[in-house]
Amino acid sequence: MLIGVGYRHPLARWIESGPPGVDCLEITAEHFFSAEQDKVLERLSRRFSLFVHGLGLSLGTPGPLDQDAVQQFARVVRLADPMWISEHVAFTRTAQVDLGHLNPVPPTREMVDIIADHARAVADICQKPILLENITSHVQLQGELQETDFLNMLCEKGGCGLLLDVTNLYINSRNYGFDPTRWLQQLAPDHIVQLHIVGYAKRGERYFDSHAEPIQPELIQLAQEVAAYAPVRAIVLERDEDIPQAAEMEIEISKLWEVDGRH
Amino acid sequence: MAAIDVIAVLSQLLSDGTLRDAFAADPSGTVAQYDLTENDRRAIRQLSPQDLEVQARILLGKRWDAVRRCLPSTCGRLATEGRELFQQSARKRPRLLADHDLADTIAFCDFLAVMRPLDLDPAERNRVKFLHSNSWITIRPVRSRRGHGSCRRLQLLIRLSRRRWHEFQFGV
Repeated sequence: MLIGVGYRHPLARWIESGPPGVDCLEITAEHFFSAEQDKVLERLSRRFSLFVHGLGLSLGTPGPLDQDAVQQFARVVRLADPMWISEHVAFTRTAQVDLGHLNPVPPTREMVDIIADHARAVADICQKPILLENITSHVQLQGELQETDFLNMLCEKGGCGLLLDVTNLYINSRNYGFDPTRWLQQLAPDHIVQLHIVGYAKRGERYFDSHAEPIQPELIQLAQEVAAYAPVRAIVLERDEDIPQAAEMEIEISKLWEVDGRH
Repeated sequence: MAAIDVIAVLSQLLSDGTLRDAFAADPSGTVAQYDLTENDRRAIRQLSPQDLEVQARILLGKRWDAVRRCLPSTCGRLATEGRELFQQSARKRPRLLADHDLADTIAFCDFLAVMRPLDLDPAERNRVKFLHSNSWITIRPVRSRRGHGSCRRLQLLIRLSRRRWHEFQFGV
């Protein structure tokens, strides 16, 4: 299993130093839309296995994809030459409003078709396999399908894999009161290609994906369950806020070795 | 009334605090305004107003992060009150597609000009308004804080191209 981190500017120096145990990097496509970043991207692609992760393609928005956004995304993919690309089972905007962040879609057969078509289109344009990530949300839309059936159908119809965000699964399981292990066992294991993980925050009775905390032990345990259940190829630490110094990042990376069974 | 889907209605609820307040007071009445299928109507009606508000605050938090990057000095003065003030100013103002971070920032500056004028850095306000405009050159007098006092300066903003610009400040 490849072990990696999400590339963030505050981590640049640490990443360029070649930290031990970091096999791969996940690039957020939108951070590299400016051509001023091209040289950085080319340098990283020479040294690390890369994945390109999108935030703004809004695959869950009915209607045509935003072609400007897709072309910008595809340009980054061409430069990075990643092993695969990924986006979210979510929408971020409509024809009138840009919400600027990920929001849930209804788990319906119609939405399976919408996202599957969009995912195939992006994969075709980029000529790379595409993974779709589960999100966390404080709003849950009901639909005709259970979430796991929805994700299984999506992967089948879209010809895509799953980027299982372990933290999002854990947060949703706490906020909505379900067993994450049982949820996991309803997913077809062969679809799960990559994992995301980062510590969660808790305020009152609610759990939040702050992307700002060290990884809690229960998340490592859940990730180990996933790794035992599915042929996971990579796990990426997705720390976005309160990014710590190198020593603490290396402790975080060493936690991921436990998922992979390394010592 | 044009048909609308559940995604469009959800996006309106998440971006418009006035609509969320109406939904909290009368979910069925609010949903009845939309030409939805019965399944979509049911899906929206069962949403919790409290959950919508929590999700909406997360979205506002992302907008706040972008505004903070545009107004570092102003937001530094606002300290821990900045986020709540922004939430107050933006809760009922959806971020339209044609909108972008600068428009959010300018709207927040206009809000602070009334609510917290002493915390608003005038140079930052001039800068974002210039960037949002089509102007090639702008000169503005500003008072900038120095220690316990302030000093008068001239702020000169020159646009070189669509994305490149220079700023100079001169003491007077």
